[in-house]
Amino acid sequence: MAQEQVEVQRPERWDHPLDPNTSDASIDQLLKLPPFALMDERRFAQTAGLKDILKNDSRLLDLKSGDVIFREGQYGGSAYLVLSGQVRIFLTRLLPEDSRRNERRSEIPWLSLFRKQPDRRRASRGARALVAQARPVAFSQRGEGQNARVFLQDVPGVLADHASSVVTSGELFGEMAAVTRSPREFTAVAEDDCSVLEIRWQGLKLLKQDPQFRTLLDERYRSEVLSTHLRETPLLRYVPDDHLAKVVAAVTFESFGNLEWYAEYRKQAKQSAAVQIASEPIIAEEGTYAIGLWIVRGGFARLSRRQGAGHRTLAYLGKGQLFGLRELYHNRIRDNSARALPFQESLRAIGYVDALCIPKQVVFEHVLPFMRAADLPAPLSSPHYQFGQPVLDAELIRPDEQTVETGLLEFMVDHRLMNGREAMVIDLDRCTRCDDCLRACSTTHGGDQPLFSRSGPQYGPWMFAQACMHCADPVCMIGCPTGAIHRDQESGTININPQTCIGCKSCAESCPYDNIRMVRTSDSSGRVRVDEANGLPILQATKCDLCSQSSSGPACQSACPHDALIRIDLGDLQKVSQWMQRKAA
Amino acid sequence: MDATQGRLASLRRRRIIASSLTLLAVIATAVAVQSVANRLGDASTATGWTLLVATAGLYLLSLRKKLIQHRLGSVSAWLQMHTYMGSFASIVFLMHIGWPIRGWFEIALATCFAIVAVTGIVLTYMSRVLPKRLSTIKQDFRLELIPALRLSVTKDAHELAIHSASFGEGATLVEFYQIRLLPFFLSRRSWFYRFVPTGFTRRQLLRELHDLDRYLAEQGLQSRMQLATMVQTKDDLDYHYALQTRLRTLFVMHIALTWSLAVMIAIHVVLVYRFQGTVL
Repeated sequence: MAQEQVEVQRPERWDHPLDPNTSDASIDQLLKLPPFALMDERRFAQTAGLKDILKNDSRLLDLKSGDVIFREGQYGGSAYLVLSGQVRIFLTRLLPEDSRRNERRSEIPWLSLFRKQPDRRRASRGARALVAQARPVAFSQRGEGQNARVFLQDVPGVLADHASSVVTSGELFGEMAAVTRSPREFTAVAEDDCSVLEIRWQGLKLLKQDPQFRTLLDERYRSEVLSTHLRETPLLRYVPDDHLAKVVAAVTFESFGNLEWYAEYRKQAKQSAAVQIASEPIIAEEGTYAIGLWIVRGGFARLSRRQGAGHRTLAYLGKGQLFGLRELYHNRIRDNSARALPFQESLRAIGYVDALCIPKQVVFEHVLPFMRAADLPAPLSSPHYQFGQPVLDAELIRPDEQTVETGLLEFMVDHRLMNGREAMVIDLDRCTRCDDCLRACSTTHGGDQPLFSRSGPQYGPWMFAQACMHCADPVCMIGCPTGAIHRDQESGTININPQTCIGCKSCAESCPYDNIRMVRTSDSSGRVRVDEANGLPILQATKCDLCSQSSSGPACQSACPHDALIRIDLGDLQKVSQWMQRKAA
Repeated sequence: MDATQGRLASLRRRRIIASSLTLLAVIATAVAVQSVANRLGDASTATGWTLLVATAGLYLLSLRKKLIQHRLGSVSAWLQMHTYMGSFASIVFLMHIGWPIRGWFEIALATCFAIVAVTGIVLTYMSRVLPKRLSTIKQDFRLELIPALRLSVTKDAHELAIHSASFGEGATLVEFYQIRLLPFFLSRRSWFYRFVPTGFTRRQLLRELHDLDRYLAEQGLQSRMQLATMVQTKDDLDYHYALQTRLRTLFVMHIALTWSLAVMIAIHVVLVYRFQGTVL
């Protein structure tokens, strides 16, 4: 029997503007201000003109002194342009790590704003000298419901205790987290009564069509990276201010690969390992002069060493990890008679990598002298590469060198699996194929189809199932024209808002892991919704939501009777290794 | 200690606690039964109620699986509890039944209980052994997709064999396909294979295919190698089908008999109290 249908108008991009109350008059007013006044409206498409973008993808925020715009660690998809007044960017953490760890989870939304992010990779940034001496910071709530805003009490007092920078009228901030799909690196607070324009990522992308705006964005992006993130590197935490200023002045910021790397990856995925590695942009190459210290800012990089005719992956480096410190330290402490060592491994961009490079001489003069002995690397006793010496062949198996076995590591990098923060891994040595996980998923989501498939790339007994991995770099979000697919500010999970999803398939086509499916939609009576114009079904994107509506966590994991399934952060190799090496229980 | 280490420690702790509790429960029940018997009491009533409670506890696993959205602990923990409670119930069952068992209904009930217990033990064993055997195959196959995959590989093999006749290298491959491979691809594996799946047929066919190499030229050789891969795939599919079906059949049997057992236990309790004799 044919299913009953209902004809509806196909949802469109701007059916749900960021602020439905934005008036044409306020947009006209906005267009007279920089940088919009300097933009060339002819550069925008007729269907998505500058006025349309501002009307639908932005909203005006009238803030009072102390209002928190966003806080460090939150995920965000918006950039902010100061129209009037001043905004303070706090470079040091306002709430100490310990107090946040002990804080009870609260269901009050505004309190959750200050909850610690469950991202362990960020934990290393904990100690910052200024915070240790700072007085406690107090927050309060103003207003209720949609208009509720958290504000910072005693702004002058907090300013005295915490390092900060000021953003004034006409300046943009917060776009870096939106562009790189990463957590906010700082807390932004209105210093006085001010007006700020919030522009969501989708609008920001369209505005970038204008070269003037692009330049503004790029300049801000670079200066923000250099000024804020160097201070956050644990390695530099004991470097005195005057020396740090020298480091800031000398450091260079570089990007490798393509932000929209998934298209290239899809092409490369079927190629041999050698071709794949050859296509990855080299950040630093083994055997070449150790010219500086690399700090990975965003994305993932492959740490590899030549092995026979190929390259062996030793690890992948993520945000905040360093490359080249061992060699530079060795070169710093070597005898005058000994020769300097080149880089011992290669570093390649997997997809897209943001990295900082501190030149060798600056590391020698302004970084190494201030590092604690415990932070210094072990000396290189048997280097593989020495200038003027034959290259030593690496041992094939060196368990001490890696956390997980080489093959698995290569597999995870080749399949870009290290991107997964909540990847579903199934131990096929335990899985009885009972499909209780699929049934649990289906039950939790209203008895429809499960939101994942018990299939996917397999390495030995490990299956990396086709379930949304809630990636560190969610490329599925890049093309979404409405922001329907978004990252939850607090938990970091990637969710799809069915109200604003227009079924354009952009996310499903850009997911490198094919973890997003397009499904037919139906109304409350169960009738299939079809486009009134052409009779085609109205589709919507669907994927694993990590059972975010359920208090018991992912149903697939708790339903597995044999502990064969886990949701795990594949970026954390130690955790992956521990799970894989568990004894039969 | 992070979450993963915590999970492992909790699994080990769970096992130790559950084993100890089961042992204690068995000892306590045996002592209690002996004490009742010593006082010339009705030991079978004591063991009967203990058995009833223990058996009722076994049904909690099904309930837990239904309440998946509630925070009631992982199903694996409940399965472990089910396993230990099942062991306890089986021992109490042996204490409870008199020998010889009298009456056809009592024999049916005891047989049903014994089959449920045995299928449970076999399921526990198989759920630990079969996954390892299944994962020796390079690719995992979902049971419901296996018939479609088998059909697909059969079609591919057929097309490849027919196409090989056009190479001008003779009909060696086609003939071999028709005589030896076609029955292999088309037929279902025997019942014996389903119980004891072996690689004997696969190895034999691959050896025979390899022996054809001397009669084949370049294109024929390539087709032969592709056919060998397809034979391997078909065998892998059959192997997965046999093992997964075995596990599911046993599971369905265990569940179906479980509910039959519930009905029979209810009748048994009613009958016992209906025809219970009283001492004046």
